[in-house]
Amino acid sequence: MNLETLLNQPVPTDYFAPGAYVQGDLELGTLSNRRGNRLVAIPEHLVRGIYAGLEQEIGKATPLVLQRCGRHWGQHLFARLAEELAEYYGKPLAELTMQELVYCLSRCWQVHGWGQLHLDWSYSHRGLILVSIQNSPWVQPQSGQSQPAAYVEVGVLEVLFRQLTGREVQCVQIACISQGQEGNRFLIGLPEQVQPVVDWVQSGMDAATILQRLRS
Amino acid sequence: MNKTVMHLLNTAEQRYLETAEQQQLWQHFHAMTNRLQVYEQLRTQEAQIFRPVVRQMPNTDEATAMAALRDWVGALRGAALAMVLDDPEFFEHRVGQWLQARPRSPLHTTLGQLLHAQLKTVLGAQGWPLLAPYWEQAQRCLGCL
Repeated sequence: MNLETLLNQPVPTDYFAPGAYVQGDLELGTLSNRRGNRLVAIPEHLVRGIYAGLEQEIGKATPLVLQRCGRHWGQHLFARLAEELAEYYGKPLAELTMQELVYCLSRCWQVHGWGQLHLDWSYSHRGLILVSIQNSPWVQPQSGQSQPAAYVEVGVLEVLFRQLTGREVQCVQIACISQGQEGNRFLIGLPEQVQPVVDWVQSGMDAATILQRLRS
Repeated sequence: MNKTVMHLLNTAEQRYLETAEQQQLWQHFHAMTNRLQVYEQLRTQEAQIFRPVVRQMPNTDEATAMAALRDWVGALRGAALAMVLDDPEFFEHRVGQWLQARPRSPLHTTLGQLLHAQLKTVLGAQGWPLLAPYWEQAQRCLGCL
């Protein structure tokens, strides 16, 4: 490509730039993203209401159902990201650099109000990615859960990373704001890598100890 | 939108603007005319600005050169628009954070220096000071300051 060609093209920058990404039509009473796909602002109390309703109606099955909801969301989120980012950056999602992809993911979380997403690759020698989400809207802080409870996030991250990596990865939550931690943290990897972590979490091991074990 | 203007418009929701406040708006609009002229210069002379820079660029592989050039083209376009709006936050939110996350090569610094000199020459003593604060923002984001 030469200079003239470059200058005659739009140079895409930040797809999820706030202000450009979220648009509203007051007359129609709708919000949409810059491509016209509809967005909805869900009040925090509705999220809590859904959780309370599920708990009342289906009790112990609530975590499974919420995780299933997250997976469903993850599938659609990936399809939407793949389509929208490919159109905006003029290349398929697979051709975005890792840096571009990670940036887009964290901006996507930020601009939708799903919190601050951070990926940490320092556990890749154990075949695991550490994902941290600060300010998650999906769990009530300090709500005194006995186990990590961001089931929706576990589902969405699991499916999203399955689609991104093309592998049947699993996601396990190791820290949760419902238990007084400062953020939600998840480990994602192939089932054989994740299973020991699942056992540790179920035995009540905290995130710091789990990460310490993985580092050693 | 520029914070001062936004504040004035929000004030005007409740009452008429006072003379001093209207004066501030007039100043903003007059200044915007000048900034739009510089923007027009950047838009119409984009190729003239970049061509000498590319000619002076050290030899490097095409992918690295295009990546660095693309970043600077995006940075300058973003800086130009932020200058028109007189809004550093606009630059930060629309382009700045993206640029900070881009992989950088030593060529980014070289291109930044060449472009800096070229912009000063093309815009001259009248135009350059209007772009300079936003250009500095761009340089900071690409690690050149």
